[in-house]
Amino acid sequence: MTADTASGVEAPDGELISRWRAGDERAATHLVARHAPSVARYVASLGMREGVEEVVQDAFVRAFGSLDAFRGESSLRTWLFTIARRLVLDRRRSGRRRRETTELQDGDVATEYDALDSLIAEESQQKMRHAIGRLTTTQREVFMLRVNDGMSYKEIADVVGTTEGAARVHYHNALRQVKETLHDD
Amino acid sequence: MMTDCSNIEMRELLPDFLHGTLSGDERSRVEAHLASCEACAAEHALLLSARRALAGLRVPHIDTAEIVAALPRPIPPIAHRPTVARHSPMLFRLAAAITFIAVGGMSVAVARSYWGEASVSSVDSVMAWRSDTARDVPTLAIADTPSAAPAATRGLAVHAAISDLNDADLESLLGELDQLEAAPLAEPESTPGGRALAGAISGS
Repeated sequence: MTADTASGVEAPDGELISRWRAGDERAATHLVARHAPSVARYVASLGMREGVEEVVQDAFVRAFGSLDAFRGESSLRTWLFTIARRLVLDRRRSGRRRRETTELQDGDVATEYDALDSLIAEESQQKMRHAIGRLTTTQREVFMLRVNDGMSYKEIADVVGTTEGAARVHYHNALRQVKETLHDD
Repeated sequence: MMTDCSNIEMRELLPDFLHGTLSGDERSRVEAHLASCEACAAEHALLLSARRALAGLRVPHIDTAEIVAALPRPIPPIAHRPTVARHSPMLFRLAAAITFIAVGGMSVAVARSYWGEASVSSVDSVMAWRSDTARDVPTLAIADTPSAAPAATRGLAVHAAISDLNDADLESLLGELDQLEAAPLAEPESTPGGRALAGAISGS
């Protein structure tokens, strides 16, 4: 056992969850540090501009508050993504944060990925941003979970609330659409 | 636009290859395929570019310590929780049996005291009546005064069996009946008791 494993840095999620249940709060620190950035990126990709940190914290609080219900059939990351997605949708429905979020409308390229402007300088990546922005909401979400987060179709289906087959179709349709957009440009 | 590769299996593995989550054998197969398939190589390059673009999303700084501080306290597993001392079921059964016996016994005692006294009192009343009739020869009380009338009524109401009377008592009773039949019905005799009764009737 390496030092990292012993300290929890490299320990699997299940082991860290068990240690946290036994009272080891450092295990929670490792879990948050491991998953918070990807959850925050996912929340931001859903159109949240303000309140991302709040949503991420809420997702962790809810997840840790019901770890007894976590059966381990899916990964902790998938569970966190699912909770975060639900939180974002709830906020959209309630409208409480309407002014802080950008509604993801299909084809709404100009407002979706403004955050990328300062970071993506290359022309090819700007074209890529444009192509991704042309996707439908579901296609874009599935494509990002598959390409950016490396999720399996099963995990994507759990997060988005669809079937594996539907997730696969959405991914390939998104990929074809991106290719066509890049080719047309 | 370049035509997609017909090897769907390889195309499905490209995102996982991108993230380095494939096993050694699968990774080798994908690498060999990419070396020979221009379409999949182009698709792999596209996915790599997309990942870089998406990874560049500006994400606000996440304060890990703040999130950890907001988390609920861990709930100790059941094995570590303090257990409440549990009594043996036999104790509860024994207590229930004792309670049942006590309540049942009290119920029987109360029932016996109620019904037993009632029956005894009935018998006693009969026996007392019989003893009274045997001890005291029933007599026909003469109501000399208003206060004596109830006593006379009681005396007339209590009849002893004629067969229970001895000869002397029977003769005495017949004598009293003769005196009763001989009594005038219109006006009472001028006896003190009779005068008192007449006065009471006339209201004087």
